Amino acid sequence: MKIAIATANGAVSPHFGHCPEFTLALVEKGQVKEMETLPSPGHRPGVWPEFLAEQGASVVIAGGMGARAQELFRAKDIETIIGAQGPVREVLAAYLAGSLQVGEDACDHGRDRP
Amino acid sequence: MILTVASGKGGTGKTTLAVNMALLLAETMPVALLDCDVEEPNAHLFLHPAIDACEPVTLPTPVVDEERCCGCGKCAAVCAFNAILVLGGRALTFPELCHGCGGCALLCPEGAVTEEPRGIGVIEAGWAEKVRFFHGRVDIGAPLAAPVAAAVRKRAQERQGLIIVDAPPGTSCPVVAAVKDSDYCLLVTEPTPFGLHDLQLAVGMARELQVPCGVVVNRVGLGDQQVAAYCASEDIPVLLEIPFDRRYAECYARGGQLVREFPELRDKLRKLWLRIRMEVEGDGPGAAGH
Repeated sequence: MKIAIATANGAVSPHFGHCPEFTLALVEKGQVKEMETLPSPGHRPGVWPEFLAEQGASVVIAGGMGARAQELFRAKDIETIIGAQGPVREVLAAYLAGSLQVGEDACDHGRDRP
Repeated sequence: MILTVASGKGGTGKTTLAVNMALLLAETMPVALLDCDVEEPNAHLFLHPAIDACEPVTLPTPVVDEERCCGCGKCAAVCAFNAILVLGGRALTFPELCHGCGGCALLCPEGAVTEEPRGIGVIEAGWAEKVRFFHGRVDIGAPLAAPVAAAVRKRAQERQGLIIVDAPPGTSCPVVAAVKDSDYCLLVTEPTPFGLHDLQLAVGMARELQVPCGVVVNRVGLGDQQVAAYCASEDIPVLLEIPFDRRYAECYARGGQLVREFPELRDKLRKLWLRIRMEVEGDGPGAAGH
């Protein structure tokens, strides 16, 4: 299972579409086996969801995410955990322990239907 | 992914688990809940969906044209449920026994048997917050829960994301209709001799259907250790244990939503979902129970 985390300076980025990089974690038997960092190609709507789906991510964690990106992930059966904050490793560990607490979506521009 | 919650024994917490997982996971992904217990649907009591669609479930049932019937009896011979009988060269039908296979119409050499739809129940759909909801109700007096359960289960095809199926109790035809072709089956039980007995039947069913399964033990603290011993000996993962807690029972009894009242259960259910996901995606600890 692969988990993608919108990253800025080693912490969860508050804005999915504008994050400088992504952390892609390969999880096996509940443990993080490998982590790699992918630089962002910049803010181009629709590109990242497609790319992360190709990488096999089944979960995406971000501080905030626009409505369009959320829709694209939903259409690809990718779970989106929004409102996370803190260092990437801690967030990942908390997620895998089932204890990740999420707050408000850091990006609240124009979201409609669930 | 289609995740079915089944049990064998009734009253172990299937609906409680299905409803609360649906509410929790709908916060982060598209989720549909299908209540396939068409004889006693109850998920709506906890979800309070706003129903926006209702459609009948019908079964093709034979009608015999007496003018064309030659009385050969081929229709009666093929019927496994005695829904058609040939006496004195005349075919009599018993629609309430018909399961709608169509064999009679197919085999009639005179083309005397045609099929007409007969209503046996309804499916209702609606939204409960972010959860897309479906349930079915079999008509009173129609002893045909399986086709109605199958009709509800079929609605999974029109949904993406996670589909949680709340199966009826037991291991009979409606349960098979709910569990068949699922990606994973959660078997909810309790640590009592009754829970163990019916869990063994349910495991047998899931294996026969080749659906990987894991166990959730509810009301831990009651009863004994036999369920845990059985799961260990059969190499079936126990994915979650829910302690016996009067507060949970009180919440359930007033139709409450556990994930809204007990943060510790949110964490447990999130973890359960991760374990299921790892089992289904093939990198979980241990084989998935078969």
